Amino acid sequence: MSKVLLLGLNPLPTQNDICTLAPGKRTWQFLNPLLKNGHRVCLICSRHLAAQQKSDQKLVNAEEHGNLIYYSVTQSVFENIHWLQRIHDHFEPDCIVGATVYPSYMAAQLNSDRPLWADLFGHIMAEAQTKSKVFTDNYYVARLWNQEKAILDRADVLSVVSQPQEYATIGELGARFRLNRLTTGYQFTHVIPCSISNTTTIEKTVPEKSLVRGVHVPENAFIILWSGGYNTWTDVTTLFSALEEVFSRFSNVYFVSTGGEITSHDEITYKQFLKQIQNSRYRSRFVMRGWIPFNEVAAYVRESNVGINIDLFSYEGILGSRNRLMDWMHSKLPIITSELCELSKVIKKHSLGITFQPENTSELVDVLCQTITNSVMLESFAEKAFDYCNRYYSADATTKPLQEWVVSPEKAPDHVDYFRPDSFSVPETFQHLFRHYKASIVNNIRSGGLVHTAQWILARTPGLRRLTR
Amino acid sequence: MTRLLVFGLCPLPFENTSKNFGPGIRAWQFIKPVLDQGVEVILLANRIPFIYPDETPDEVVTDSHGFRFYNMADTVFRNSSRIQSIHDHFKPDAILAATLFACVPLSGLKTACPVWIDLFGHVMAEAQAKAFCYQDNSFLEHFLNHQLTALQRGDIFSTVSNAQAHATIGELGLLKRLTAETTGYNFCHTIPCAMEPELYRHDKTVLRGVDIPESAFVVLWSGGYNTWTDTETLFSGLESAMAQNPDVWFVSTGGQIDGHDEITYPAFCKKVRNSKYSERFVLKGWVPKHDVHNYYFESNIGINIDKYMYEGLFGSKNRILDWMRAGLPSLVGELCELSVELPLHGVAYGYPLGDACALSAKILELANNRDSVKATGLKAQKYGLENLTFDKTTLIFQNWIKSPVKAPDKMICINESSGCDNVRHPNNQLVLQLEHELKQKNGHIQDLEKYIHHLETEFHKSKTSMQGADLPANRPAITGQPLPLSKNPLVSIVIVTWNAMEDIDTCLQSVISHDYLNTECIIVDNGSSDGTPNHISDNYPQLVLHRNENNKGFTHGVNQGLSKAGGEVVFLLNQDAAVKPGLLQELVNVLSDEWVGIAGCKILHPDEKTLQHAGGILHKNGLTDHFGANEMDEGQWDENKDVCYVTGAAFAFKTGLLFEIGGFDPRFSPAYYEELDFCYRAIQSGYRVVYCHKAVAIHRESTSTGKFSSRFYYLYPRNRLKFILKHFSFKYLLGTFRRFEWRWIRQHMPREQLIPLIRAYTCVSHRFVWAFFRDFKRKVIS
Repeated sequence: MSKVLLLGLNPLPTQNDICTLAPGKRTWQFLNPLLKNGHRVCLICSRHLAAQQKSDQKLVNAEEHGNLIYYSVTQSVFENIHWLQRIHDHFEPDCIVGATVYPSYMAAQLNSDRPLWADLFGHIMAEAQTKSKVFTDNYYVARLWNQEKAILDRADVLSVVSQPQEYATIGELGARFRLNRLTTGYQFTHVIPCSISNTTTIEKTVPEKSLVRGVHVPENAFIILWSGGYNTWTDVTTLFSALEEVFSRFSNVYFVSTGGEITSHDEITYKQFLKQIQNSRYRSRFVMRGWIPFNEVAAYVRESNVGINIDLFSYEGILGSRNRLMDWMHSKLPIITSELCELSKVIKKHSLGITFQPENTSELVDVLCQTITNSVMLESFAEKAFDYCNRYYSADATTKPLQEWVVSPEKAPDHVDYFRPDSFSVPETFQHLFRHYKASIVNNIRSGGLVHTAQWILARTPGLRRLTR
Repeated sequence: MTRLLVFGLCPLPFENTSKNFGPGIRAWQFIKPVLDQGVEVILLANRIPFIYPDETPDEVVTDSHGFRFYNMADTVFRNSSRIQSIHDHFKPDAILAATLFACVPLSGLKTACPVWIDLFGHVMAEAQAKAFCYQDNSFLEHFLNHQLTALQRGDIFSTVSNAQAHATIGELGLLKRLTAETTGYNFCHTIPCAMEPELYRHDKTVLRGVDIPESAFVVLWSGGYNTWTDTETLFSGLESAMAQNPDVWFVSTGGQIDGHDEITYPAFCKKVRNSKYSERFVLKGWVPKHDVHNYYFESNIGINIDKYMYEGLFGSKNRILDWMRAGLPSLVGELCELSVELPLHGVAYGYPLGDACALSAKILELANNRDSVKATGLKAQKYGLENLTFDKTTLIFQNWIKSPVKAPDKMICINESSGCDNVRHPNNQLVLQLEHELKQKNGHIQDLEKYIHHLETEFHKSKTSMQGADLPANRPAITGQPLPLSKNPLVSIVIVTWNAMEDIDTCLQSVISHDYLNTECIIVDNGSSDGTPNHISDNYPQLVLHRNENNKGFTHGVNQGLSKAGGEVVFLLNQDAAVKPGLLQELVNVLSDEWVGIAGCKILHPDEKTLQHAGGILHKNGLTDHFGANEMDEGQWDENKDVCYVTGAAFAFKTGLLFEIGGFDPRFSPAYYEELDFCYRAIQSGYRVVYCHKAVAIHRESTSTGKFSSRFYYLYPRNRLKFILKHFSFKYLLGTFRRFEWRWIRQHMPREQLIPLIRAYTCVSHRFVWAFFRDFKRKVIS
């Protein structure tokens, strides 16, 4: 069994926190199979800013459960590379795994000769693009490019969420000279799609009583559910227009939203949507619940008729995936989604839900009307989707390549030597080493004399070390 | 009528040459459909070497097939003035570069036309395969340069597969072309390889009854043995099949690809020679182009066999399409999109990649079902005619050419000097107006940037700059002791003030609200007359304030502050600077290395977007520059690095350093060059001076001395000369310094600086004499 240093993001789905985000689920997706297979895991999670509001939380919270050592730390601690390095050196892992981009970036900063598996949870440059669009500022492109670059240069294996992202990543690797003679035939990337979450502890705590029907909407309402963050890729304009049109045709249709703005990532899209709603004549039929505890989300899903996911046309959508679709499939909630990411294409191909073209309001209206009038069709989709995701998208099934790699982790063929042969920093590094070595000798002579210095040199010379014993 | 200028490679398929090549076919795939649509086309084609007779002129122009065709030797194709003149005369509406290497002339071409670039195969994957074949990585850089130039230049791209399109998106992301402006814009379209509409006819017997028996089951290979060809599996699979069925024969037309892969084919030939079935391997080598299709008609199946590598995954295979034209079915390893799709549609046979046993079994199975194989061939032909024609595959390009537009991020980069004025974008006027305004506003900055750029160029060219080998700063003169740092050390913040009412609140607010808690703050007021000390003592009683009666200069003030500092780390901050959260922690992190003596910050202008300092550069005549000065901060300097010096506006050092190298030299009083002198002495003693990009400060430059004032123009060169005289030998002064100083005065120095410079020289003239005697004395003693 291996010792795995896993860097990830909080909150994990087991924490039943408000604002459970996809990165936390992804970390859980990686952690669960590793623990099941008996590996010893040291998990260091940075708390997401949105979940970091509680003032009673300590900077570092350390727990140990069987094979798991779990550090939950603030972002500032997580970014302190010296702290991470100390944990790494103390734990002495056989390999390092970064779950999602940011932890992978931190893992890439560690001074370690251990193989690194970096998970690129979504295509970071495409995410930067949509974020730049929302904030009308290209600052994010440059910032995230630095992270991406560091990961591409350091990682030995990379995982991605879809095949299109896999190809995009190979393109990037080529541009960073990682496709070279040493890596020919080496498979750098593996697709680990989003998985269903096996958080049985939470499912047990789902409230039995109704939280939506009879409370926020009439008992006989047809509920269209949105759950999760309003992200940079969310097409709120099309969503709003289509809903208004549907509301005008059907009086019993309600839109219920759990989730909201994503602190420090997208604080604009949700507000825009709220503004549109405020000016709507149907505003009473938009039930905006904001972020709610994770266990309550399950109740909302249970009481809804259909879940909706709506993307803008963007490379982020094409290359990425959507966790919420997986959650809905697993909860037998019928799905309507824009056809953009690979998962939505799978949904269309295997008739697991209904799809429409992105940014096409009239098609979305038609699809919604169709679903409102044909509940039998929805149920058949939901049943099929449930079976399909259980078969192909369990955490265990999706992370097979990671599980195999962790058993005997290896470096990429071009990383086998500590110094990359084409690295410009090699002579500089040696210069530094030589300078320090020389300085140490001078200090030793001053402080301990010649005999002491000779011993010191012998102790540091490979092959002569035993002479000093 | 739309006018299209095409850059490509030749020969084209209709030319009377010995061989056809993928790039030529690809160019024709794009040109033919648009010609049918009535688009006016000029093709500038670079000829592939050794195909045309030696006596062919460097430029051959023909008008046939409905377009003008310039067949150019490499020298003409790279001649930018010739290309420009053709372009300007033709005035195209759009440009197409068919295949990557046809993009070469685009780099020097001045044009406002939108550019469509066809990336015919993933070039970095091809480079990898080639690097593997030759066990040499030196190909990579050459290929990458081509690829990046093309990706920067193009407005829209086509690829041969969806996989390649996604890889290209990845590359565009790394090139920062996925920006706010291009969100929702589709850069890449897939245009798969296609087959020509004219079918082949069997017009000559070339194989059966000539080289092989009539009843043989012929497995055909046609085309080059490329870097991706898996000859191991091919040979093993064939030998195994031949052993079990005496009717199985292998025929090969094609061979090594000169200049690209001269290894794979000879290795295969060697294996064949040593085989006990060698007589059933018929290796014909390259056969004339007009005979090749006859081999298709006399074979039973065409075989394509790839190694698992990214080149295969992203690419396509023209030869399979060529076989389809003759109704020859194919047996393909499942790797590229085409070889996965065709078996799915039942128009080809697949086998698992690299599995010789499965390959052998498949050949034997097909050999026993010849009728079914033949039927599959005809089905494949029909499928190709319906789905993979030039016309159908290039629909996206045909639509684009009707109204070509530039990529959204290129809209504002219209080259005004272009001769192409028939492209009008609706926002052009607005863009030009904005550009004009921008030009006016940024005029001063641009001048400064030019000057800095020039200095940087000089700096990088020269070997006597601070980073050069013979620089005094890089001399390994280790005299200092390592300086370890305790955990969470006390940081003494030292601020020297003089008439600072305007800035001091911003500065002190940022200090007292800072997130690093273990700090003390010492303020030395240099006899301010505007009430600064009273303001500080009234509003910030928790800070230590030392009042001087009169202005003793910045350097003296700093030394006074240092004498009161009790921390392990001293952080020196200018009165007109403010710190950002996390700064001190980052500096302490950097200083935790026992050989790092000084750590500097990333310093931004008050707009918080423009860089002021990301580490310092020292020129040969003592002039200084800052890395990143006046650039937009886009993360380009986000890397910690060793530098010659860091600016004194905000930097930290270990108190221990003072015992090793002393404090600030009062000779540099009142200001300028004291921090450079300090850093220089630290480096001389073996310590590192590190620029820390995560430590960020905001700085309003020189509110106390007034940057670009007459006082500045005097003090700055005076202290520069003092610095040079202090640290450099008299020989250096007479040689390198004199040369560079003179060049700077003649070429770059503004006139208004001349008089202050003469004053400065006069002021330090006696020191030249002193420097002479200093060196003389040293020489005598030594």
